[in-house]
Amino acid sequence: MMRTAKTLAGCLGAAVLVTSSPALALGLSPLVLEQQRGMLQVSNSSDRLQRVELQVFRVRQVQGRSTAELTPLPPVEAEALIRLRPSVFRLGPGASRVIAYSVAPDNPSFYVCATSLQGLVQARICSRWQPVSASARRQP
Amino acid sequence: MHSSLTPRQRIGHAALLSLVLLPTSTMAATIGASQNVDFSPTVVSNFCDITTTGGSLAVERKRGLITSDSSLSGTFSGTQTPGTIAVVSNLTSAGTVIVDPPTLSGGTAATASELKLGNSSYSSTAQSLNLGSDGNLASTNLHVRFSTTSNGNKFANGTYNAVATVTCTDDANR
Repeated sequence: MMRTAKTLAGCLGAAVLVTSSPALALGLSPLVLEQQRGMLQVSNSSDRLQRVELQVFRVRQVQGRSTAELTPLPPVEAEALIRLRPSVFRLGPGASRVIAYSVAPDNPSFYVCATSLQGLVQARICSRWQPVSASARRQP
Repeated sequence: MHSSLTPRQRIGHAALLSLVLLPTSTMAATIGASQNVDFSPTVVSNFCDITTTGGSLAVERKRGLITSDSSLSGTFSGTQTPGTIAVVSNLTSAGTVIVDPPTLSGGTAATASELKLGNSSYSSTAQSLNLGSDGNLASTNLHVRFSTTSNGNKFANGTYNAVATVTCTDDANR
């Protein structure tokens, strides 16, 4: 959510309203999940605290490219696909957090996205569950 | 050299040596158990960082238009400011940034919801942004605008919030 800083300054008898909106920066790695168990790293490289939520989405196509649906799966359905603890947390300025995950076997592809809202913009960085195929596993 | 020592001297040297060694072995015994210094792990892989700034909305005086775009004609109440998007990543051509049409929440539903990226034209469908060869996207303005044909083509009094979703993914085929 956008934080609006309001500064009332007197200047030759006039009141000036200044609105500022500092940047928020959200990062996620890796962007492809190939192992059933692993770690996700969420980072906040901005100088502000931000609330981050990890949500699970189905896959859709936009202009021939894969991306996440706009509406997250309900928690129960998401939990059946992937376990993440915690899924909602605050990240301090410059902080990062490593989150362990485990994916239930035999699941189709889906996205798990780190999301953060600021003003007009909701940022999402998404990791796609894309298991190594059986044929690829058999290769040396 | 040793052959020149008498038995008494040898005993004396041995006693001296033990005195020299004793404190060392005592010190070793008092160091205690070893301590591990733990580091939290890091994940080495492909990554994407999105940097955003939030914009602000204004409503046109006749209340038929809500926008963040100060270049639109009309008299507005409020301050129009675009949101901005920038991306840093280690992705190449597989990196995808999608901006979805904005949603408006408030008393009157919008019948048209559009977005504009940089100097492009307004669109009501999702737009994709290409990352540069370095995997980055320079700061790009994101404008939104909403109009309504409900309520006599006017947004009813109240507070309206808009959100546009920006998504970064790695669309590489594996």
